[in-house]
Amino acid sequence: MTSILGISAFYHDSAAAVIVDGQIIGAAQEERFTRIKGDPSFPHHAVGWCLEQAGLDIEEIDHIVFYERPLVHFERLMMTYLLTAPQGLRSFLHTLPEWLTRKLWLEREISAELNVKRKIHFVDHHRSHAASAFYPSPFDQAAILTIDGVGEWSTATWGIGSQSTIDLREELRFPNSLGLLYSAFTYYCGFKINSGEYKLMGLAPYGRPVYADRILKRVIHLMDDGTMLLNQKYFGYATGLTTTSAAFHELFDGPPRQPESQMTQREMDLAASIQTVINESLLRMGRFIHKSTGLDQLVLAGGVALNCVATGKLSSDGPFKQIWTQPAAGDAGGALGAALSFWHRELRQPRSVASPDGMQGAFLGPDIPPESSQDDAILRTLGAVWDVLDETALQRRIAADISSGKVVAVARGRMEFGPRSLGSRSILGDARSETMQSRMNLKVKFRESFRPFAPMVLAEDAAAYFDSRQESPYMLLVYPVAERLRKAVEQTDKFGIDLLKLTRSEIPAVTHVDYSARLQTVDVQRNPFMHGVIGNFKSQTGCSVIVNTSFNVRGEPIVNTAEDAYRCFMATEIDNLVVGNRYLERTRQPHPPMDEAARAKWLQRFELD
Amino acid sequence: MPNGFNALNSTETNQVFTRSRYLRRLDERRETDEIRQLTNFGLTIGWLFSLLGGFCWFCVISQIDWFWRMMMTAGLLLLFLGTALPQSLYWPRRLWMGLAHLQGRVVMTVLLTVVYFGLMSPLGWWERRRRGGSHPFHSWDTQPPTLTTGWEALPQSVPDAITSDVQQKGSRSLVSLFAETLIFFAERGHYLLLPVLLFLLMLGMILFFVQTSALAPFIYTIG
Repeated sequence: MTSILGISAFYHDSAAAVIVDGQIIGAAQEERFTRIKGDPSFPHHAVGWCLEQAGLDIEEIDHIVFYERPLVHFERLMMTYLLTAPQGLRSFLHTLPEWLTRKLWLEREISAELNVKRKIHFVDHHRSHAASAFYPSPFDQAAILTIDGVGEWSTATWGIGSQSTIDLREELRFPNSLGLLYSAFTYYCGFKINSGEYKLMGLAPYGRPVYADRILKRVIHLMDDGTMLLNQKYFGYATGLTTTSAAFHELFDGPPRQPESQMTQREMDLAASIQTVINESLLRMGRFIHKSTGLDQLVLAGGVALNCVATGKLSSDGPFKQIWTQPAAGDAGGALGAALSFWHRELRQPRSVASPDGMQGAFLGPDIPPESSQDDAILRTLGAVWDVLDETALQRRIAADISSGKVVAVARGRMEFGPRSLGSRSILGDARSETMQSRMNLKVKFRESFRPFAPMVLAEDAAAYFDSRQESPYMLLVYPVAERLRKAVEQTDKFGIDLLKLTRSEIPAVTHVDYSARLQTVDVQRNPFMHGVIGNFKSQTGCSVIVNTSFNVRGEPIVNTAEDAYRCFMATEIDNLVVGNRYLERTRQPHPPMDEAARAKWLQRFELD
Repeated sequence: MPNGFNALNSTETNQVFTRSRYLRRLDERRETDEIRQLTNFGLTIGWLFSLLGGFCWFCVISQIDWFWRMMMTAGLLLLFLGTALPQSLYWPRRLWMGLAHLQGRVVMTVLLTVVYFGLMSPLGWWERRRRGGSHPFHSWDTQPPTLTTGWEALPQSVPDAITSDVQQKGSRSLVSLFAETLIFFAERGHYLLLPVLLFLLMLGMILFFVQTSALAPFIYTIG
C-alpha cells in the first residue's frame, strides 16, 4: 500500500488531499474547518481530517508532495525585480522578508509543521493543475489546458495526456497572463482578487462590451493562438502592490471602484468587456490546441477554468466534442493534482480510467452521515429539534417543500471539494418562482442583489431546458436557456441590476439577464440523493429544474459540519434544514429568530469579498 | 431562554467533538513548544539580567546603582518564573518578541533597500541592456511587439530532485537548501544574481534562527 499526501498552502485556498494506491481517499480545503474564506495558512485541519479518513498517522504516509516549486517561484520573483529595477522597491520590501525567512526554506517549514523528518517533494504548479484535470477525467487521451494567474513562471500551459503520462508542451509565461488580466479588472471593479472573480463574471451580462476594443488595442496584444502580451504600462503587479496602474485608471475613465460602493453602469460595461476578451482568448487557445493535438477531448484546470461563461462558450462554439473541468480547478485542487502527479509520474504507476469520472462527484470531503450520535449530540447542545425520515421520505419532503415555495438547506453526505456546492452542502429553492432570486439573495445569502443563481437539472432532461452541448456535473459550464422556455421581455426603462427583476423564462430564478444559466446536470451515479429529490420534484410539479446555491452566507466558507449548518440555518431565513436524515423545521425550533442586530454581528465574522 | 441558546450564540465552535488525532497531537506539540520557549526566554534573559545587573551593582561604582539592582532582581525573578511558572511569562515574552519583530523589520528594510539600489538596480540596468527588447515585460504606446505567439516550449525534463530520491528519508539541513538555491540559480545561468543571493540568503538564514531566539533584540541591535 502506498499513500501520498498532497498539500497546497501559503498563497490562497490551502488544502490537503490523500490518495492510497492511486485512489482518492479524501480532499478538503482548510477554509471549511477554520471558517476563514480562502484561508492560506498551513492546512493542519485538512491534513488531520485526510489522515483520519485514510486511517493513517502522519508517520505512516509514504510521500508528502507540495503543489509548487518554491525555488522556481523565487527565481521568477528575483528576475522580475532585476528586470524592473528600480521601480519595484515597495514590492521587493513587501515580498522578500517572508521569502528569506520562510518560503525559501519550505522543505523544512513543511517538515516542521507536520512534525516529520522527511523529504518533501515538489511538483510544478501547472503540472499539479494538469494532473488534477487529466488523471480523474473520463478520458484515455485528451488535450490539456491549464490557465491561472501565475504559478512559478507559467500562467498557462497546454499538452497531451495519454493513459498515465502527461506531456506538457508549451507555456505562456509571467507577466503575460489571462488570470492576472481578469484579476486586474476584478480589483478595478471593487471586488477582492482571488475570490471576487466570479462576481465580475456574474455582473458581465448587465453591461455592454464597450471597452473591449480599448482593451484589445491598448492594454493587451491578443494573438491568433489565444495567447496575449500584457502592456505593462497599465499594470502594477510586477513592480508594485496594486494590480493596475495610473495609466489604466486614466484609460478606463476613473479610479477603481471602492469596495461596497454603489455599482454603476461603468463596472457592468467593464465586466462585459473583459468577459468578451477572455471568451475570445480561450476560444482561440482551444482552436490552437485542437489543431495542434488533433484530439476531440479537452481537460481544464487552473483558476481561469472556473470562468464557466468562457468555458461554456468554448464548449458551444469551440472545436472540442467533450470538455471536462476539474471541479477544484483553483489552487486547492493543486493538492490533489500534486499527489496524483507523483503517483503516476514519479512512481510510474499505471492509470485506470473511471466512469463517469474519477472525482466521485467531487464528494471527497468530511461526511455528515444519515445517522450519527455525534451529530445528534452537537445539535442537541445547540437546542435543535428535528424529525428523522428515511431517505425516500426525505427526498419527497424536500421536493414538496421546495414546490410550495420554501427554501430548504441540505447538509448531508460528503462535502464537495472545490468552490461549488453540488447538493451535499446546498440551499435549494423553486426555479419557477419569480421572487426566489431576490428572496434568496437578500434574506438567505445577504449578498448583492445582482448575483444570479444556478440551476440543478436532471441530466436526462437537461437538453429540454438548456441548449447544452454536454453534461455539466460540476456546475462549470454556462449554457443558454432553451428558446422554447424564454419569455419576451417588454420594453422597459429599467437598466442595470433592475433588469434581473424581469421574468425572462419559465425558470426565472435561474435565468440570467442574457438568458444564460450556470448549469449542474445531476445523474444517478454521481449524485443519487439529489437525483431522487429532483425526480420527486418533477413528479410533483412536472419541472426537472431547481435552484442550487452554496450553503453559506456572503463571505462565509461553505458549511462543513452539522454544527456549521445549524448555525447558518438559524442566522438566515432558510425555512427548513436537512442534516443527515434529520429534518429540521424553522417553525419548530425553540430559538427566537435572529434579529437584525444579532444578524449583523454574525455577518461581521466573515470578511467581505 | 430556550435550551442551547447560549451555545448557539457563542462564537466558539464545538470542535472538540471532531478534533482528529493529528490535531490533538499538534495541540500537545504546540503547548510543549510554547512552554519550552517560555522557559528558554525566562532562563536566557534571566541569566543575562541577573549576571549583568549583579556584576554592575557589586563590582562597578555607578551613579545608577538602583537600576542595576532592579535589573538583577528582574533577572532573578525571570529565572524563578522560567523554572517554576513558565506560563506566567506569556505576555512578557510576547512583548519582548514583538520588540524583536519590529527591530527585525527595520533592519531588514534598511538592508534590503541597500541591496535593491546598490546591487539590483545596476545589475538590472545591465541585464536589460544585455537582453535588448527580448525580456517579457513588454510595454508599448501605439505599436505592440511583432510577436505572433506567446507560447514557449516547456523544458521536457525540469531539473528536479524528485525523480532520483523518492526513497530518501530525513529532512535536509538549511545549509544544503542554501547550497541548492545557489546551484539552481547558477544552473539557470543567473550568474549576475549570485552575489546578491549570497547576501540575501545569509541574511535570511540568520533571521530564520534569530526570529525565535530570546536574544533577538540584542542581536538586531548589534547588527
